Amino acid sequence: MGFAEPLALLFAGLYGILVVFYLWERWRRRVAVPSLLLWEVVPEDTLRARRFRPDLLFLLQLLLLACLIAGLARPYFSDGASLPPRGRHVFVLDTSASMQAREARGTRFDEARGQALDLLKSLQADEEVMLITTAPSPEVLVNFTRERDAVAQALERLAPTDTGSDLSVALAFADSAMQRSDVPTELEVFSDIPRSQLPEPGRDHAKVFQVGETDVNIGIEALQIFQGRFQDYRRARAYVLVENFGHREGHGFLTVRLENQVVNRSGFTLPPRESKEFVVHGFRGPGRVVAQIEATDALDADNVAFGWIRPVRPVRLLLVSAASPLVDDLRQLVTATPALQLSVVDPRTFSADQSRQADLVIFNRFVPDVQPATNTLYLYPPRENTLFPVAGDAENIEVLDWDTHHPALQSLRPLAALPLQRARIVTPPAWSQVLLWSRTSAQEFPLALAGEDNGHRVACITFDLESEGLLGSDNLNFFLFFMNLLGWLAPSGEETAVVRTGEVTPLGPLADGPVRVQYPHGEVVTLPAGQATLQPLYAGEYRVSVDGTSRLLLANFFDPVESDIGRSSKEPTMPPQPATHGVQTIPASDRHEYGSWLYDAAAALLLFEWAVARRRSV
Amino acid sequence: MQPEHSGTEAVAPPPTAALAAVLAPAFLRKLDRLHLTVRRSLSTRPGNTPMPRGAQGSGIELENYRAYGAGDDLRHLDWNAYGRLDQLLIKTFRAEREAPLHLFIDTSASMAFPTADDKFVFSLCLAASFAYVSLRRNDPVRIVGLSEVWPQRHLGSPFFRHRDALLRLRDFLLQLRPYGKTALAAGIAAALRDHRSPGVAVVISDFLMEPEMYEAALQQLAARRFTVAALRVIGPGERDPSSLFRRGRLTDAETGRQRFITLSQDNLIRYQQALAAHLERLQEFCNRCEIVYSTTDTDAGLEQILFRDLPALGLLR
Repeated sequence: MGFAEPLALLFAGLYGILVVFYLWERWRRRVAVPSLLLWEVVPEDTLRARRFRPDLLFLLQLLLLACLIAGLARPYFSDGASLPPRGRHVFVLDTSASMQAREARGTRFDEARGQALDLLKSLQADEEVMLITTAPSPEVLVNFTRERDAVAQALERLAPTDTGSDLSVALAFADSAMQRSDVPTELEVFSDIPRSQLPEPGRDHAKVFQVGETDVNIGIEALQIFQGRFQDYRRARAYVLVENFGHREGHGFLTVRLENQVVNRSGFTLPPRESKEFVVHGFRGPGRVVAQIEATDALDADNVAFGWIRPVRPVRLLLVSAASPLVDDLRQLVTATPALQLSVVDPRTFSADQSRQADLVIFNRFVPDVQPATNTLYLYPPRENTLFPVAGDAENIEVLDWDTHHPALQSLRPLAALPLQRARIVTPPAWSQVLLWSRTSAQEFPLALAGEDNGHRVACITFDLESEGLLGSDNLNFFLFFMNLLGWLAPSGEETAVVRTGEVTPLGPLADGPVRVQYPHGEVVTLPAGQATLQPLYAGEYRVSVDGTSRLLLANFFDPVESDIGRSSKEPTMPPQPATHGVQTIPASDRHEYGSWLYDAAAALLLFEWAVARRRSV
Repeated sequence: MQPEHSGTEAVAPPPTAALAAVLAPAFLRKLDRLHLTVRRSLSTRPGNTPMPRGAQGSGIELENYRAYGAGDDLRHLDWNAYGRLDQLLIKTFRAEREAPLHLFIDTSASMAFPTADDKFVFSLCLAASFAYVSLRRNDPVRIVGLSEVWPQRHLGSPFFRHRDALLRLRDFLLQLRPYGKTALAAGIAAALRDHRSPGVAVVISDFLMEPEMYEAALQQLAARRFTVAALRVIGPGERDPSSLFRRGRLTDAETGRQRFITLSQDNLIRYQQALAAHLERLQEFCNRCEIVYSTTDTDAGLEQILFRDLPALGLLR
């Protein structure tokens, strides 16, 4: 408890003035009257000539004045603190992946944590400590407190993550906390980053406890699984990039497994600061791919990486088309693509029931009166149709623009000025997004559009693909565009995602119910209701379960900055430059002022005193 | 002559301006219309020998004729009547009478308080007005200040017998100060020892004393066949003291005794009830003793008292 404005207590001198007023009122106020004869009937106040006897009114006024003076002094109480702190310390503890590196006496993190605990023990009882961690993003783990045990327990519970960190943001955090503090505050940084490499805001007044000397580390810098949309596991290939981050030659073995079955094991020798790429194929099925390095190095987090080979479910195509070269082209395409199955139906015999057996229905030069309840692709719709109103025809046109953000056009560079023979000029429906644009002298119009209508994916190619020739050698871009469009119209429905540690990952559409996540270390956590994202801090498998169904999330640690654990120098711990010292008062955030209560009490006392005085005068 | 000061004094400048206003020609012309009503207590003028019943009265105004008897003063024979009627007739004359006015003014310290009421100055102005009304009729006027501070409890002026004495009368009034304790009965008794001839006695006081005291004083005058008038001077501060104070130490102007009073509403009512009872008892006593009584409010003004209230009571006409 204390006073934010102790000088206001000088107003206590008003007590004396109040007493003087009171005495003056009682003793100095003399009224000469002609005679006391008529006043004999009036009861006399019980006063003693030589004794100060305050009455209820005086006591009320005294109390009222006390409330006002105390209110002006802004009294406060603080949680568990009876005295203002002597000083404060902001501990910034690096929890990035590089702190997992093993040194002679343990990991870097263990050493840094030991230094933090030692410093914590050496602090005075009235000093406060804030604890900030850095990875994956800065977090105030413990706000300013004098409870050493709480800070020590938080330190003991901490572990470095498999993520990178931005120390500059963490130091900016600490700097803002120091700016807000009104007592002398010191910044202590426990990291493997030398002071000279710290960012500007905190470098000058930070006391850096640098840990870590070794640079021996060989890590997997990348693992990529290449598998086309309609390719099965036999065509899948894994590319593994291994790098030697040390300054000495490194040796080791790379083992690639598919669901615990070794697919490839290779030994390697890497010169200092060099990398090597391994291509692995011959996978005998779909499933989880694990690449692991066996090498003598200081960091384990980058010695393993995960990939995923999709199990390919055949896509059932239903082509509704009269006999045409396009039917032949598609038959050839399906023959060459094991993941595609094709059925062809004449438009005159087409019924909606047939579409229920297909994953994707392709209408060539035909639009049914009733749209099928499945994903559909329309090719060169007829002039008269209900779905895509045709405003006219255009001939000898070119692709002038395209939407590079749509999945159907990713990794493609449609050739501008590529001539097309004819196209329908249609008005894009409201639900659609134009993928390819062309124009006549009169107007722009779409050459391809796509979107979702009534819960189904729908696309339309307005130019005559049949006359262009799908498999023509000059139309490779159109073919790739067509295959991408098929892939978008028939999504794989993958249940396994491969992500990077530290990235916030959406969990995708989930069933209603509690979401339980099994972490790589075996810990099972139920996510709060409404949380639909996950930020994996450690590399490994995360199994997300909802209502009996589960989904696999594979998190990889690929961060060459963190894997490069070598430091240019080990700088001695330097005392920081003195920071500006403030007035030693408890920070406003810790204060609980109750002056307003006193003002309320004063107002109540004033009313009560007025009532008492009025009652006396009646 | 200076009084012996008591503990509680009213140190105030002499009311020169107030008396000057009363004795100004304009106000005196108004007073010329007034007469002092005297129902009894006439005395012979000085120089006239008091005569036995039936004896020739002294005077110059012819009253009657009667037959000459042995021993009658031959200077009163009407020789014209003897010549016409051949009878010796003696002229008888009406003896001239006068109504001396005794103005008893309470000069105790209580007359000075409350200061805002100006009771004492008002009393002097009232006395000066009465004095002029009498002097204009050539009736003698005497002023007596009554207070314990004076030797023999009073300070009396000589009789003023003519309007020319008005300035001397004023100077005497200016000598008076409200000092000391009240001595109404003792002062009047001592004043009457010097002048026994009856007349009109006007007692101007606040009568703030035990009833026995003012009853004794007034009874003396009534018993000596004076036409007695008791004028009770009161001011607004005395009627409603809440305008003067709310709480404090009340000090008796005469005795110095103190009393701590909080003037709550209840206490104000108690005081005013006591005041009303006091006035009522004074009036009742005066009525019983055939004494003209009037309560004169200082804030009512002198003219209200002289030209309305007192004529209504029959003291002036």
